[in-house]
Amino acid sequence: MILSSSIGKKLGMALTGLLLFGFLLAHLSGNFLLLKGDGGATFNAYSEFLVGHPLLIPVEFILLGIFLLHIVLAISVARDNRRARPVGYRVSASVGGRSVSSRTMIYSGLTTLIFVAVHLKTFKYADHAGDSLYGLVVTTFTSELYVGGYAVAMVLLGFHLWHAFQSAFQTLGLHARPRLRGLSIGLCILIAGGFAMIPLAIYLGK
Amino acid sequence: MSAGSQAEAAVSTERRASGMTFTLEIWRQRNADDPGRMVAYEATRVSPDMSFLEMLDLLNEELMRKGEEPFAFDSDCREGICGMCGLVINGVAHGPGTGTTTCQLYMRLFKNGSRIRVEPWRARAFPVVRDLVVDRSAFDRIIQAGGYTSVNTGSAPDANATLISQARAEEAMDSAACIGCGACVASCKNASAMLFVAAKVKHLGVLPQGQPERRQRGVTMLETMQEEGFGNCTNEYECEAVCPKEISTSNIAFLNREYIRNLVSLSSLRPLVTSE
Ligand code: HEM
Ligand code: SF4
Ligand code: FES
Repeated sequence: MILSSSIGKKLGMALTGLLLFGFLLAHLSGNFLLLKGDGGATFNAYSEFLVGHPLLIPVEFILLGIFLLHIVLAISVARDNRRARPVGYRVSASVGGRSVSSRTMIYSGLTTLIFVAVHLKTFKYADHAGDSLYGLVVTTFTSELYVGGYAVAMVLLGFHLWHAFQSAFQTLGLHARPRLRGLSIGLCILIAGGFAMIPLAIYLGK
Repeated sequence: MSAGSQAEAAVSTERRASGMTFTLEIWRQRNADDPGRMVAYEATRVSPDMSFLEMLDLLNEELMRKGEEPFAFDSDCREGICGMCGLVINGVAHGPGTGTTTCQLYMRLFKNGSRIRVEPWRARAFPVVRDLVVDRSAFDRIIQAGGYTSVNTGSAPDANATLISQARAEEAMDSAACIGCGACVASCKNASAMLFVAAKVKHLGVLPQGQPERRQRGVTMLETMQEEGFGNCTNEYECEAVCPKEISTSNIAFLNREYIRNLVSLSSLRPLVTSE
């Protein structure tokens, strides 16, 4: 019921989206351990701690649910919106707040989905018996293709986050766009730049 | 008079004498089933002081003189208060100029000799009737779904019977300024009517007279908006930029808060009180 109403869908997207922001920040702080320069000891310990944790599986399911809900709602909203204007304009101009980021949300979102699938296959569900996770990460990031692809995916994610962050607050009833502009840009540079920097650092450090 | 404004005056005197010339591309469509097309016309001897609609009138008279069929467009008050005259001009709802309707747009804002493209509002919920005229009755149905207050009829109440602070009255008036023109829908990439609905919901929702229906208003108007085929808001703020009444998207944030408040308030019996 709620999730079929126009604002309900957007509320669902805003809440799940902000939770995903939280996940990204947590994930990023974990990844920074890769740069500690101790041959991966801390990172491996951290990864083993997570893998052994009894709450890991339930938390993963919750995360998957949040992610899927966000995507299902995003696709539903995008589909409604496409139907709402069957005949377009011959000439159209933007005089308001549209940005590259806002007009490409569904595409930056979908590329993120593809990235996540590849990413899970490479690191989470990879067969790395005999090698630590750190070892796997370091070997993977010797490939230019992988490092480059990763960076591109992060730029696209950054574009998604740029519009998403301030948009979520408006959806939640907080009209704070001018005040949030700096924070929005800062966060998306931190998250996208942070994630993209790690493989680059590993690649250059080799 | 400064040299600059003297030069400007000289230019506009010259233009007044000879008139401005434009190439207009106008959307022509016989009826809802006709696919429609852009047709080019030359508008000559246009005075810079003409409104956009007067320029269109001039062109139509010219067409009729030549025995061609004039094109249809809507207008009524021609003073920016009725909301009938919406046109998309060079891709912008109500054309260049901020806070104005098409009827209040003057030709001096356009470059002499330029090409001007004129299209109707585009939205599934606003079907084209003919040429530049669209059917905006979807807005009426949204209003019927909740954009009203129940009042006792009879003699007019005393002006001081219901006290409303100046600040509150101003806030309500800012939202009440919406004339239902539909430019917000036309400019929204999702053809969403969120700014219109939000303006109505806020206008009534912040006043004591609007309290009896406050709880359902946002929900029913929003449901009707969806049923009529308008899209969902994605917070891109194109609407407020073209709104002739400069309705702010803070109204949409208000509507979102109303929606959340309805979801989280436990008892449907508890009246919503406005806190000043
Ligand atoms: C994986 C596939 C994803 C898809 C298909 C997707 C798609 C979308 C779309 C279409 C929107 C609506 C844009 C708008 O309101 O204009 C959106 C909004 C949003 N997305 Fe995503 N996204 C994805 C992943 C993510 C991720 C990983 C995050 C978290 C970091 C995220 C955070 C957000 C937020 C916070 C919003 C704002 C909600 C609102 O406007 O109220 N999205 N997403
Ligand atoms: S909100 Fe502004 S643009 Fe939308 S219908 Fe009202 S006056 Fe027109
Ligand atoms: S004709 Fe009434 S607002 Fe333009």
